[in-house]
Amino acid sequence: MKTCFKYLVVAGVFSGLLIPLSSLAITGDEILTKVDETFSAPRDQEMTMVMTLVDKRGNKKVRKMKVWQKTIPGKDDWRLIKFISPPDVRGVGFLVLADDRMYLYMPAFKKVRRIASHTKNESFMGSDLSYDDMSTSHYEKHYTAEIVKEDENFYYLKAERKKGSDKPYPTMDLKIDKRSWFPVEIKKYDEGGNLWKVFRAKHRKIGKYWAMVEMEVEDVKKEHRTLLKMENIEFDTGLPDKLFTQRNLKRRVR
Amino acid sequence: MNGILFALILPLSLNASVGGKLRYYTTIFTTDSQEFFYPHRAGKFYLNKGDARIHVEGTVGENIDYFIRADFIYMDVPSVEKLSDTEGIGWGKINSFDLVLYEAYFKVEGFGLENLDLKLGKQRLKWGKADKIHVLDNINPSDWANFVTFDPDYFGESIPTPVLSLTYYFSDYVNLEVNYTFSFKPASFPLGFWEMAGEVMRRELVEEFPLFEGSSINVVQNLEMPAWRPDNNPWGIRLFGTVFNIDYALSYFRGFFDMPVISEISGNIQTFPVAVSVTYGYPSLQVVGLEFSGELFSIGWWGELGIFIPEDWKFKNLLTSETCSAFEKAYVKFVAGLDYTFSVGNGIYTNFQYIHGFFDEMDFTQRAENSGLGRPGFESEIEDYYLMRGEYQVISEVLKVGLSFLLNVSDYSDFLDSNSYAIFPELEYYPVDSLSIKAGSMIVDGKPSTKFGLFKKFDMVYVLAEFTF
Repeated sequence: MKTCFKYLVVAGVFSGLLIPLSSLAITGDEILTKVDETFSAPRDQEMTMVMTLVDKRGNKKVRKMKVWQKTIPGKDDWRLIKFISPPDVRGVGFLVLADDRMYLYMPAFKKVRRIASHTKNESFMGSDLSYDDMSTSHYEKHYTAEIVKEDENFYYLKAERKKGSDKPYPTMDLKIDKRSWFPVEIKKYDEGGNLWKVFRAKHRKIGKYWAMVEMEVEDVKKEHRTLLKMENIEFDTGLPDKLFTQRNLKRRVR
Repeated sequence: MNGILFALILPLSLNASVGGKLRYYTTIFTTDSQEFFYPHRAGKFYLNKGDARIHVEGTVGENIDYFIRADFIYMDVPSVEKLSDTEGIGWGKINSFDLVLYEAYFKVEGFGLENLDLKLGKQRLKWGKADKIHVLDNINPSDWANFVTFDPDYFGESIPTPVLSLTYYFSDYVNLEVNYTFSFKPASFPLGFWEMAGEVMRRELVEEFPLFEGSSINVVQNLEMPAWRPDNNPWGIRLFGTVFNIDYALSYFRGFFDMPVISEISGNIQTFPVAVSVTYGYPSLQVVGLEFSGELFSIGWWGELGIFIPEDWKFKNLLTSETCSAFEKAYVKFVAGLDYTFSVGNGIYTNFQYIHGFFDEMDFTQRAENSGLGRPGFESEIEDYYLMRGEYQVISEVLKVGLSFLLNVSDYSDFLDSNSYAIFPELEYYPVDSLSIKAGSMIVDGKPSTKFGLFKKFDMVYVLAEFTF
């Protein structure tokens, strides 16, 4: 009995020691999966997004848009974006039904136009985000990652693009918040291994979900920044499928 | 005019928003031309135009939207010719402008049935998945009056007309759209166009009939419009959806050519001057269409194919006692295109389209061609076009450069003598939000007997400033 107790004490001590080590047992790929799960946890979400473009001289341009998103298990998420201001982009709509199925509505032309995924690398409405950055993450599908460092609050990952993926960034450094599994900083590199963009995000819990509330994207090459502020975030309001249609894309912003 | 203002002001009391554009467009010739049509010298203005577009849109209840757009257009050309033109409280000819009700419609979503939309009123309905140049976009008539201003905002545009449009959304795979127009509206032409056409006809008659040499010929042009009856008005039906990740549409259009075609030439050589009468009309037309768009290896692709079935339009030349069918029984026009963005800098956008049959082209019978129809230029025989376009954002959302190249080939076996081309370089600058300044040029070359050859002395530069509010 005494021996058993001794073993229990030893096991207890080791288990205590093992607590921080056990967290290392999680792999980089598993962390990416956790990140994806965090992003796709809500069934749907809607918000108002204020996008401020800041050039290297400090000149600012502000765009305001409404965003609706719906998680489709096992498939690419659906996303609808409609611009509210400024006047020259008011009514412009962008609908994503899959990575290779995107539509753009330009009210001036009264026409919905399908846009192919080659546009993914283009700037989204002049911001430092590309159309690809605006699509849903699905990191685990496109990247493999390993943990390079860990501290009390964060995992530091090095992610490499998987073979066959068409993502524009071959490597990324991610700093993941352990508490929420949210990436608080992502450094994205170009094909030459040079730092291209830096994403810094703030998040907080709204209801039962973690949500990104602010983000700064810096294009290091262009010395240009984009600030995103998410407002009026709502989760699980039961957005209907018919919201994510070309019919609704043409609908006037209300 | 008061009605339009009332229509614009009335909705302000409802939940409406007002927006619009202020534009100023100016063009200057860079080449001399001594042609009888539009003779000019390099450095002379071709056209200066300003417009204020104002639209009011709003929502009534949950599911009714409305949209009204009025354009105030002033041609900034020398309009004062005599002293009395300077008179008047409203500043007379100094201040002349046109007011156009461009669009005015309402849309009911869930009209009786949840998936049925009704859109009624003066509107622009676009068919076709190609980029700007279409063969199936036939519900609204072409706007040639603005096309030849080379104002980039009007390239390939049509005139909004009163249409009843019903769309039923079955599913992602298939939806049904039915459009009925309340009257046939023809294409518009630039000022002086038909006077010029009459002069071309007079010169051709002198060439063809040496008898007329030295005589004075007076060409009178007549127009016969289609009967205005409910069963005669243009309409169209279109099935569209997405299958296997390909967007498709199948359509049927029944209406008329929107450009007039000669039906009869008659004359009396006993009179002095010799009186020649040319009668034009609008042949009826059916178009069966197929459109599609998708992507392959990230490359965007699209196509439009139309089978055109015109009525058996008889062309009578009473000067030669000849009668023949003007058109082939059925013929095909199509557009196919690709686009891709190369990852260089901010991304170089490229776009390529192959077009078989331009907006104005028709397939004439050999006998009709021998009788003078379908000659190169306007309303010509169907030819091939290659349109290549590249765009690059030098500074994202601040400075963009673009270059378009449009090549026309009418005879591949005689390529050098049968091609003509137009090049459109363009620079677009956005100094601040909502303000854009475009500067560009049109450079044209080709033998005079080719499509664009007629415009080879019309090279010009333009500037368009546009403010959106």
